[in-house]
Amino acid sequence: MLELTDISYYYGEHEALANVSMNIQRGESVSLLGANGCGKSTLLRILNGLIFPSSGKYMFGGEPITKKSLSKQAFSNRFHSRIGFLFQNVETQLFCTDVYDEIAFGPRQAGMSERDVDIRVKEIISLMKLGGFEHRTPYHLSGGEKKKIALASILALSPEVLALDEPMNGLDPKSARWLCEFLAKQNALGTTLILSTHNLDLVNEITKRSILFSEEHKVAADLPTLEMLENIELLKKVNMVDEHYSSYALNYLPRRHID
Amino acid sequence: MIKDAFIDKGILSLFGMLSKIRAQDSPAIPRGPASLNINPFYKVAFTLALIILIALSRNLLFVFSALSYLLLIIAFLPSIDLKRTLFASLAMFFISCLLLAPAALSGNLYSLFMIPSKMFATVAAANILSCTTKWQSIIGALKLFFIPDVFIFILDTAMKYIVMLGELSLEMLYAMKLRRFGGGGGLASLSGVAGTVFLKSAEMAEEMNSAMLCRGFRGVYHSRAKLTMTAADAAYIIANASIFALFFYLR
Repeated sequence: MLELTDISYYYGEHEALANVSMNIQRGESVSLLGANGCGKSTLLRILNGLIFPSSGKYMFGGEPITKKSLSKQAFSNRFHSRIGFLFQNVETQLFCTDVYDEIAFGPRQAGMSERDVDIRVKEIISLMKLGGFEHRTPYHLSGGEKKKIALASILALSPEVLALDEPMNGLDPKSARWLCEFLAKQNALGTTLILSTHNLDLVNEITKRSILFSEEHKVAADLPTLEMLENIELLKKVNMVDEHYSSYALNYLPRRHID
Repeated sequence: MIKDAFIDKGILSLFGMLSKIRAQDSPAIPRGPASLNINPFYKVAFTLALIILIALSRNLLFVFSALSYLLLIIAFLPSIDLKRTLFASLAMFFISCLLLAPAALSGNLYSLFMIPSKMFATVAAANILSCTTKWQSIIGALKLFFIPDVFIFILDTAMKYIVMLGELSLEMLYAMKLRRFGGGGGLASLSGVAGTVFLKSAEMAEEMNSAMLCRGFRGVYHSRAKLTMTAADAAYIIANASIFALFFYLR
């Protein structure tokens, strides 16, 4: 469904991605792992058509995603309704007067009638257990609530692919657990998940495949998630974990796997 | 020491402003009966009309009637809003009295009664609206005055950025206070805070644009507002209509 071939990206003269290639199938759940600044967020922005690679090719559903193709309104609308993006900083993602309008923004932009928008918003509010928040101002809510609302506003367009940049950031353990289960459920229902994260404790529960980025902004490994987490030498090599993680992972991960 | 006091004052004023804005959205804070389910559109429209009529009126009886009506509403406000409204209105009343004192000494007592009363009523009306209506609701009600959607969006976004950048500035001021040990460079640090806020606002604006694009933004922002009529709305309209009728009757 998503095909990237030899993608490179430069911020001025600074290289953010170097010859990255990957293929993500429909319904897959993939985590992008790597140390800070390795290019995960840049890759997610490319996948969402917010920036365009300096070189290489990106295909979504068999169609090339370029500046030219996204300049066509109809194509751009179709593309953005198929892929949803949860930003790392959700505060900037919430821009409407109240939660209802925030969730309704996407369906209204897609040209749905006000009656259908209302049905859709109520469905999402019930799905995300956001009853009572409809008329609250989004940016006055807590971090976990903001994240839920940002996710609800994306799900209102029923995207086939969900791209999430550090979704567990700033969440308390209970909210992180809820999000983890929610994402796993969405994936089981057929939504393709692509998430960048540092949270190695929960990544195994959400995704089955992991792509590890090196500090040289290249793909260092593409393995099943559990196998990746057990390969401590590899994680150490890309500077993602230290010796403290080794003891934790060796004791904890295999046991949880057996459970 | 003086510079530290300046930082403290900055922290306090930012904290106060953010608390006020946040309190407006808090469901836990009880509001007065004046805010009971009255459509913001009616509140904005009638407040504006009342202010215009008070400004136009040359009849002391009408101004005093409007003043009595506003004082009646003020009496039902929660104590914190009551104090705030009365303080602002009385401050303007006394300032205008002071300015008009020379005229009064020259024998123009009419102006001394009329202008400060008008000032009191105008400031009170604006404060009642501000105390009993959320900023977002006031901005949303503008839609019914045929204000363009893009203008409403700009106002909405401005409110959001005041809160978010206010919080950022507050955190930076706290950090500055904690790291200062009486040395100099306070002014340079403050200009650093301003610069950082500016850069952050540009970054946030860019991210918001990206978020809008990701959710299929087609270049047109639609804001929606409903004009409903409840028993509280009807009572409010009747009360205001009576005041307006009095204006024309006394002319």
